[in-house]
Amino acid sequence: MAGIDRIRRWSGTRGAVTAVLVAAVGLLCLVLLLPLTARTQGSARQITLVTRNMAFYLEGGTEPNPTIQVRAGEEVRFTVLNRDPGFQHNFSVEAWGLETQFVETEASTSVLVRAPARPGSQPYVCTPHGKMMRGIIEVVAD
Amino acid sequence: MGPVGRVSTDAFDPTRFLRTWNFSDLPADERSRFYRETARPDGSLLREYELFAVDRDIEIAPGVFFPAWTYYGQVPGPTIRATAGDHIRINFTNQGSHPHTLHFHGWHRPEMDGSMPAHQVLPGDSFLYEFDADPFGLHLYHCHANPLKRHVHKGLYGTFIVDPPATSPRPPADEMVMVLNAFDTNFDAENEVYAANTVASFYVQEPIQVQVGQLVRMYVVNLTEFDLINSMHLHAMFFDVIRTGTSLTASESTDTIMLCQGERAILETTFRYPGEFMFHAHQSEFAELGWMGLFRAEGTGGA
Repeated sequence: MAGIDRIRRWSGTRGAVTAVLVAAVGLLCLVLLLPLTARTQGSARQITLVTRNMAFYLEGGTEPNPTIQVRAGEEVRFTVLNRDPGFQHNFSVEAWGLETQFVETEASTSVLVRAPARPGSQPYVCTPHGKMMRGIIEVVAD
Repeated sequence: MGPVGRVSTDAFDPTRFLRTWNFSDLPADERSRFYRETARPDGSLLREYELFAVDRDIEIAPGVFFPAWTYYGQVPGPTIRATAGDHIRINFTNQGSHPHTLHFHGWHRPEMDGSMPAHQVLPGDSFLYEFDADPFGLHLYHCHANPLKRHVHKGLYGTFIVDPPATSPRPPADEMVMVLNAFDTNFDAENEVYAANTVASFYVQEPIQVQVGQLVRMYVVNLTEFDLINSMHLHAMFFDVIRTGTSLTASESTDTIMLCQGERAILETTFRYPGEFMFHAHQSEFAELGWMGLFRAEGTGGA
């Protein structure tokens, strides 16, 4: 019933005016924010982690669960690419409050984060497989 | 004969599984994650394993996925192989969603038995199992958490081979592991899919390659749940049977062997003729539901 009410309201003249206003504000926001998003994507460091045989690998790497280094305050885009058939994996750095969604086999997910300003080392894990899929992420001084 | 379509072998390749033990199919650097061996002063080996339990959806017939509980992400679990007198150390980590254990057949202290409620390794926990490889023979391991039949049937089992002492080895042969298993896909305590090494009719589509005139040694372990017995029948030839593998000499020669759950036997034979030879459970129902395969013998023969 609520849905029908909403449709009726939006179909009136007042609704049309509101819709135009909302669209205009939306467009303005988009125009203002677009350069910001583009700049963010351009400068963020890309780190792709491939999951296979119950371990994380850097793309093209052979070392299981490698130590990952990032600079303090650096923007990083983590991409998790799941090459482990029959498993769902994610990527989590609990100390950073970072946890990606679960990734199906042959799918990927990305998350953009800013590394902590303070140097230090924290474990990264796949949440349900945290004993096998566990490495260290190091924040080094910029 | 057999299903339409193919199962992906990306996660588990039954052909590779046949002749893989102690993670021998992995490149050296990856293998060392799961298996290391160190010589001991008396000439025997310390064999150290990293084994984990984990839930995984596995493909047991083309397009049929089973929500398995596995060791090392595969069913059957990895084949563990040692020589009599070696010392075995297994760091077991439970990455699954239920409590699990490792229960090995063979001689060991009771606290290493992985069978009592206190032995259960909870999700996220680890336990170090340690025992000597004793006696030589063909054994098995499986989870012994309750309810036992569910934990076994879900896929938590594998083969444990203990070779005779190096002073009296078995003759060289083309060796392979076959675990007779089955899957209850609708949880009615009956099996719908049967196999040797998990994938229904896989060896019909990909026959096991063997050489005419070469001794073939099969390590056959029955881990079928719910059904009282399983069997193996080989067409057009006979094989020698070493029950439980605890002898160097065969006790009988037959073409059909019956095995209770947990029972196992080493079967030895030599192909005389080139061509394809059928093998399967002699329970016709099991054979038709996937426990069926072929050997393809190559080379010259006709003796």
